[in-house]
This record gives sequence, structure tokens and C-alpha cells, in this order.
Amino acid sequence: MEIIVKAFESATVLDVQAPRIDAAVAIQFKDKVRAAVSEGTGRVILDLSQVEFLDSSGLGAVVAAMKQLGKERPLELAALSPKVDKVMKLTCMDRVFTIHETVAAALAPENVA
Amino acid sequence: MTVSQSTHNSPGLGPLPAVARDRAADLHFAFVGNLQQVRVTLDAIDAEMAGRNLCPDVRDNIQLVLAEVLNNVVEHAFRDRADGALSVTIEIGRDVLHCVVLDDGAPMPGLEMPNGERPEVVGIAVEDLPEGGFGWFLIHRLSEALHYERSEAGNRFTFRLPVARN
Repeated sequence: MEIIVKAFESATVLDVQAPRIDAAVAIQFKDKVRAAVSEGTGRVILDLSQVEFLDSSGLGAVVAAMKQLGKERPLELAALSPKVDKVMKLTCMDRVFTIHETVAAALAPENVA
Repeated sequence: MTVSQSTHNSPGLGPLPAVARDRAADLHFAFVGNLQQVRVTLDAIDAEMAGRNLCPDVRDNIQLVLAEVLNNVVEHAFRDRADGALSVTIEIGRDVLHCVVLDDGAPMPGLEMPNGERPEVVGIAVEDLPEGGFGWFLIHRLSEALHYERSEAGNRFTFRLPVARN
């Protein structure tokens, strides 16, 4: 799994280059996110456009990443595939995370606090 | 490591009675229980489902429920083992899939499955959000007739997944 870090003025975008965030890569995902955000400040947008499948372990890893980032660096999600969106809705995590349709929408001026 | 798959042939000669399920459609996978093999098996099952004209939603549910059940076995029943034997059998009926998951690992704590309550997440402070407990919620929520049995041979989970076709 690779995570490409893209620094924008209003946010840091983490582009997850993996088709699945599941039990097999949950720990790796947490480590990669931690390394990717070790520098910088402000919002972090997790670009999930490449991620087709998220299981409960993957969801736990995303939650862990959000907790690790803390209040100063809110983690937001973007570009959810239908399967990922479904898991978010079933678990009500869609009411916990700020979710954007696309990365472009997440970076749009009206979404920048 | 390989994933073995066998497709049972219909026994006997001549057409099956209309009410009989299609035994030729049963799927069986037996493999060494680790997370990579679970992935391989899920992909193989999804490839099988792809040709069966199921609603996309049904295919997604099958993937998710099986992922949760199989990963749970690997992470808990096989916690200290790399050689656990795991199998999944899917009997494909007209309106339902009957799934049986067998493993030779440690029993469920208290010989019971965790309940399927959804972890509380709404209105919870970020630092207090749960990172686990979603798996059993998803299994209970998306499957039917979920049952767990412990025997000398190991654990046996059975459940049904409703099938809607396009």
C-alpha cells in the first residue's frame, strides 16, 4: 500500500493507493498515515477514490488515524466508492466523519474553514 | 499455499426435481487461515458471484459478511497459530445463500458470539470513538439465521445471505 501526500494550501490530501483497506493491511495503513502526516498542519483529506473495499478492521484503522491526528488536524474523507459508503452508513460513521463527494469538493473554498 | 476449490457434481442421473437446489452450484474453499488467504478466497468467491446475475448490493454484502467472519477467525480463533484450517462452503439456493464456515481454532469466549449491537459513535468525542466492534455488528446486520456451534473439531458458523437477482 502506498499513500501519496499532496500538500495544498487549505489541506493535506492523502491519496490511498490500494484497492482495499482491510484486516490484512490495517496496521500498515495506520503506520503509513502516521508517517504521511508527521509534518504539516491543518485539515487532512483522505482520498479514498482508489479504495473499493473497506471492512471493519479498515474502518477501525481510519478511526484510529483520526484519533491520532487530534483536534488540530481534522481528518475528512473524500471520494467514497459505493461499498465504502455503505459501510460508513451502516455503522453511522457517516455522521462522525465529514465526507466530500470528491477531493476537488473537499478543497473548494466553501469547504475551507 | 493454495486455495482449493471443489465444485460438487449433481448426484444421480436425469433432471433434478424442480425443488432441489442446484448442487452443481455449491462452492467449497479450504485453506490455511491467514489474512492473505482470506483475501484470495474472497476474490475467488466474488469472481464466482460475478457470473450469477446478482444485484451489486448482494455481491457487496456477501464480500463484507464473509470478510468479517473469516478475518475474525484468523485474528481470534487462530490468534497464536499460522497453521489453522479454515473452510467456507456456500450452498447456492434460489433466493438465499447458505454459508458454513468451519475452523479448528480456539472457541469463542463464553462459547457465544458477540451480540450485534452497533457501537455508539454519534455524539462521542473523537478521542473516545471505538476502533473495534463493527465487525460483529455488520455480520448480524447483513446476515440471517446466524448460528454458532462449538464441537471437538472446532467452530462452526452458519448463516444465510438473502439473494436478489437482477
